[in-house]
Amino acid sequence: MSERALRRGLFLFLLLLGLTLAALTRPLAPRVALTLSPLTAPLPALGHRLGQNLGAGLAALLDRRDLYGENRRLQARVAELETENRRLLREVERLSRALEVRRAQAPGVVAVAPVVGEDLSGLYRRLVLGLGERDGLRVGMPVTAPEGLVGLVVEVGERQALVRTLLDPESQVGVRPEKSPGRGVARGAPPDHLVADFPPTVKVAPGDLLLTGSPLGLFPDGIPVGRVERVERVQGGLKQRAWAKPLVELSLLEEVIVLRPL
Amino acid sequence: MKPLLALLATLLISGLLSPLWPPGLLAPDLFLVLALWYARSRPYYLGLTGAFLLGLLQDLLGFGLLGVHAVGLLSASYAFYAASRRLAAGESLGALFAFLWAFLAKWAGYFLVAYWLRLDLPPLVPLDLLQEGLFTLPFYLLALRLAGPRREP
Repeated sequence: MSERALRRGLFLFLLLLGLTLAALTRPLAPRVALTLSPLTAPLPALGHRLGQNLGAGLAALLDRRDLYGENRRLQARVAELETENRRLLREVERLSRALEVRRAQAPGVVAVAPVVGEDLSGLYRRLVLGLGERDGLRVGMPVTAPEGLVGLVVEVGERQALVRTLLDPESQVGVRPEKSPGRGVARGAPPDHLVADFPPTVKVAPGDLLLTGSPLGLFPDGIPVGRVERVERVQGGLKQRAWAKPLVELSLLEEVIVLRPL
Repeated sequence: MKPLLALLATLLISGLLSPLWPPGLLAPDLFLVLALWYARSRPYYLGLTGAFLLGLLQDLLGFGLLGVHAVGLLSASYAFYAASRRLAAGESLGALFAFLWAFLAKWAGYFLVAYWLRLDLPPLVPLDLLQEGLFTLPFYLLALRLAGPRREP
């Protein structure tokens, strides 16, 4: 028999064997493979694990290249968020102050305005606010701070407003002692004092707190104005004059709260 | 010893390639390469039997029907012998032709089993087969290079 015939014979035999095997083991196909897998699987599994690790290593290398760019982007983003955070913190502080004022002094907060300037003449004691008519500010609006009364809006521009402070010589604020009845009028006495005139019957003493009263009708009642330092009799005893120190340190003010006018 | 080492290397590299190979592409058939490499320097009774057994191992590893790859590799090996007898040894064009012939025979073997068992044919398109052939060919050429000059079986 020739080699060619033998080869064909072997091929046909193995072919038939394969086909028969496939037909016979068809119902058992996965089970047989699973049963024998402890013998057959370890080496391909090892290769598979190796390939997975290699793939993960390559991915890590590629990712690392991206990390530099991502790091730069994130740093920029962090800086941006920090700036935003600082701005929001300032905003929260500002609103907290406004809330405090609203709770303690009056319900009608119109705006929280930055102090952008101060009258430099030396004659008056006035502040310039960074908000104006466009922001709802009007002449006659009281201006306060969490510590106490600041003054009154006397001039309004489109984007700025002028505040006449307590210390301004033209300022007049109706005041009353905190713990006793009686009304008086406090005027500014630059550079840093108030002079409040009371009838002689009003009981006022050093250390007393002066609050806004309502005789002039410009300010809400009960806003702290200043603390009495000394009291003296004037006009032959017909009046008593109280020298008081404002509670608000005007030169340190950065923001003030503008209230709705009465 | 050498065939055993080649088998171990095939198993290892096949496992290695599977996670690295891009999804959606047919990976190179290293078992076909091994069967042809083995048949190249062995007489037909060893080459055909070896290819059949290697195909059975491939079936077991693939958790598929026993006999599909066995028949495929057997057909490939038989076609490879048939082509090699008609080609001059060492010719690269001849080697390419033998590979192509074996590759087609392998798929013919698969389809024969599928027809025999009335299996649903996998949704393969000719492009898939072409891809597998193109990816397998470099490994086949590499195996030829590593095997050195051909010995007549």
